[in-house]
Amino acid sequence: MTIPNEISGSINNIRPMSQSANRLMNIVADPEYDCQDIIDVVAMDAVLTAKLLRMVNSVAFGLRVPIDTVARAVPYLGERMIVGVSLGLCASHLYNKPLTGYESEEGALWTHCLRAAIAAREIARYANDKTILDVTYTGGVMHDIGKSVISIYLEGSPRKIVQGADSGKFTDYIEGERQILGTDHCEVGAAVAAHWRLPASLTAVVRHHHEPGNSPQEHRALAYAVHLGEFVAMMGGTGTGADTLMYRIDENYKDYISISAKELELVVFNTGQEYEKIVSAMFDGQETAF
Amino acid sequence: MKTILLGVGDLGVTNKPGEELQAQSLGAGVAVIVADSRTGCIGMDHIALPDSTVSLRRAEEKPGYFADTGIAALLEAMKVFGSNISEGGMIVKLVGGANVMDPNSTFNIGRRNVQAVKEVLWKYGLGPVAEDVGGRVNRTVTVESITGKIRISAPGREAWEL
Ligand SMILES: [Fe+2]
Repeated sequence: MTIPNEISGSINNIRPMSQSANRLMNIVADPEYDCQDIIDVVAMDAVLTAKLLRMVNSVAFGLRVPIDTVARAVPYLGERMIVGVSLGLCASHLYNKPLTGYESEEGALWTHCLRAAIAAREIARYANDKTILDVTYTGGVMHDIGKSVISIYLEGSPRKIVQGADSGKFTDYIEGERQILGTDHCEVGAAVAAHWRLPASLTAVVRHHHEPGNSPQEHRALAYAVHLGEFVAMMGGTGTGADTLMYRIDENYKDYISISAKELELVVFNTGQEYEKIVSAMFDGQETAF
Repeated sequence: MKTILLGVGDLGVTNKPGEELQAQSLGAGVAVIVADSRTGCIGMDHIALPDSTVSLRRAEEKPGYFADTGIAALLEAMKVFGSNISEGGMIVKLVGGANVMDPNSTFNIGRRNVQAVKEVLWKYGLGPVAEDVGGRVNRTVTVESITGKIRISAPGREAWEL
């Protein structure tokens, strides 16, 4: 597959990520990063700081004394959440528009990515390779970014793809995307990641999150964790739109992630709890999170 | 029509004309719908997981979250509205339980949810007369009081009735 010219053109027109987002992404791609580095980046960005403080001071966290610095917000939001929410804020022009090519509502891509990120991080606890733990979260935030680019080219198609997948004409939504566009949200997402010069691990996750077995060996565990995290999000009802649940699971995850049925139920539960808390904090008393 | 929204783990009951209960984006979760044909009272539980041993604390706060605690709580809540299973006339329907086909049978929580719900119902001598479950569908379900009419919708599809 190659990306058609018209779509490549739209990728090149995507604004670069903000400097803060870029630095955060590079910090967390290093498994031995220091939390202080994250705090420093956010604290220097006034807009990000204001938004994060508004979140932590929302009723969802029920704090009696207001938090007024990023450093003091860390214990409540968690450093992963700070990174995830910051990335979402920096790319809100991509995450928050309604995606007609998926019949998705405004903000749905963001909530899907957020829930998948939380789930991927929970899943990663059961990975044989524990070094992937922190990158899984960022990988989850980024994994479906390609949808925001191809959506417009899929306009008018979601029902055809859903019918095709129901009748067995397509094995999944991805195949529908490929039939109609000659590319899919993974390939395009990876091109967006390259356009943003994201670290190789994150580009690999975006590229291979539906076919993690094709990922380069060094990023495969990460790709599987995000692959499963996306399923956990969709099982919890938080998909993007018409494509929700219309994907195939790669059963070979068991070679990288050892999780029992009961443990998965715990993952689903923990993910739901954390997701609901964050979402209510983001939307508390505001028209939109961004 | 006044719509009462049931979040994950919430259960609701109404017998007021002009009211409906709605559970959105069920995913693998299951909506257990009980309609009392004698009184017109309807109840619904938005179940997320089969088994409360995952979090006994959650089960205490929100029994509706799990199949093994939710159905008892739903039937108890309907008693307040004069519905009693011993008098018969209870019609049960199930919606949701979208399933991920995992050959390792770890991710098939949708199917485990539906199975767990049925096992609890059988203990009460109840069973679903109709169900719209499984598949790769993220259902939203709405039930009308008095008539017990059920509408189902999902993104990318025309709405349908059960
Ligand atoms: Fe995806």
